[in-house]
Amino acid sequence: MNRDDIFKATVEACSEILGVSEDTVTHDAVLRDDLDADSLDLAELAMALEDRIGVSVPEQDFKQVATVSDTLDLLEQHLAAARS
Amino acid sequence: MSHSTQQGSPTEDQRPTRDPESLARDHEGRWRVAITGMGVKTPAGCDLKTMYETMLNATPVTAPITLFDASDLPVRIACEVRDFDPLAYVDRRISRRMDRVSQLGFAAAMDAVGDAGSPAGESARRAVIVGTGTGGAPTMGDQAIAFERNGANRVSALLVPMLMPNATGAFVAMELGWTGPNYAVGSACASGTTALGEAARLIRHGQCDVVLAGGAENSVNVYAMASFCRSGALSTRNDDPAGASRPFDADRDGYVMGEGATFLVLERLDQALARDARIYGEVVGYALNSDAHHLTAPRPDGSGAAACMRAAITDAGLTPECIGHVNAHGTGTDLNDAMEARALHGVFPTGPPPVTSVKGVFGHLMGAAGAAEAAIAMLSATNGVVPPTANHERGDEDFTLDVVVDAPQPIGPQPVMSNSFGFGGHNACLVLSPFAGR
Repeated sequence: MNRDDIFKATVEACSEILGVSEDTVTHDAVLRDDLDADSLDLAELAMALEDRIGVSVPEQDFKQVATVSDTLDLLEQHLAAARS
Repeated sequence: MSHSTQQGSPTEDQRPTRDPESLARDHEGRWRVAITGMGVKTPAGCDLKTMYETMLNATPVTAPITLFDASDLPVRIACEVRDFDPLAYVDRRISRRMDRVSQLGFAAAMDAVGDAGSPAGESARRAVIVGTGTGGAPTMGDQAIAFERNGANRVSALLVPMLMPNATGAFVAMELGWTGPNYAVGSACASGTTALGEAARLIRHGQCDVVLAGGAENSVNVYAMASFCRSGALSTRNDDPAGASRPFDADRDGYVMGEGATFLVLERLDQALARDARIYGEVVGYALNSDAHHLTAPRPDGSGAAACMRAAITDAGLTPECIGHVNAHGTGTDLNDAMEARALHGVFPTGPPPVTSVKGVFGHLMGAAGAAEAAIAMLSATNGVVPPTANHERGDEDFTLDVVVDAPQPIGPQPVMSNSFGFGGHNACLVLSPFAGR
């Protein structure tokens, strides 16, 4: 799974959980401000992304992300760690 | 004021002259309570007109279960709310935060507010009371499966907010910006009636100007159905769904599970009049008590239910002769119907007035039943007709009741008593009266 695949999964998860259209889920989009996500949404999003990408990410790490791009970085990093 | 002046038919010049202040208060000096809005999401219709016409036509809506795979259950029929799309009321994000109980409840509540127009009063004096038997319990079941399959890390953060019985009220308050009292009441199958009664109390005693109250239940789910199948409470007429719910009938074999929601807007009568609101009628009497007898069975002699009915009539400042008809709990179970008949004979020594049970049409809506039935009872009382009881074909030899069958029975506008009795021995009764005029 490369970064494009992770982005695609993130777009789908955001659309499903946040009820936003897929074209609003850009790399620069801020989850809380641009996509109107609250703490419940972020918890749901974290679980959905772990399932879709097949990686386990500590809850604390997910709380640090601000943008979609940050989310991709975090997931990529944990995916690489899991592979090594 | 005395309600007896409303229920008789005095000519205009025989009516006592009252100043507006005395018209605003009841026989005990409490604020009178008007019903100014109704919203329904029921198996008999998702709008008031459709639901009421289905009742007058006594068309049963019981059908095979479609909401889940019921093939393993001994009972595979129920009354489901059809043609309901929560996305007509909330967006996808909010919808997935709601158990079906809140989707149904929120939609009915919004319809009720839309129907009521623009009630007076500041937001802090507007309340929401939701009656529900089990709230979002089905979500708990689904999440228990997720836990069992995938561990604690796969339990949703939404579990508790979706499960809590007060969730529906929270969504309603957030949407409307109503900051007054907001809570859920649970008295099993009496929850909807209890919610309306408690709402009337808030207005009567001057604590609130407007209360949106009712009941909601997501009960056609595999967990509730499996449990009620095991307890033997449900009709097993899988091959005759339309004939399954048979209130007070000699051949009744249990109730039919229903689901849905109904909300009513209750408003201080004088304020409703001041804004020229349409008034369906008044909540004039309410009582609740407990059998203190058994976890599921009613007290067989009906003494608890009878005491509750008497108290509600007394609360209304009326006597039993003033009650034009009874919208019975009438579940179609052996125990309830026999008990309720005994109780009615105890309350009405010269014989109960005409009795109807709308559960013959749309089954038992559990925590929503009392609210939906109050809406139907209010319309019936004001229209002066008693809806017929579907599937009541043969009287039980153990009791006699004037059960209305076949066609609506005209009786003229008169107060109605609406009964609800819940698991745990919770009894709740409302007396609703037509509004005589301005």
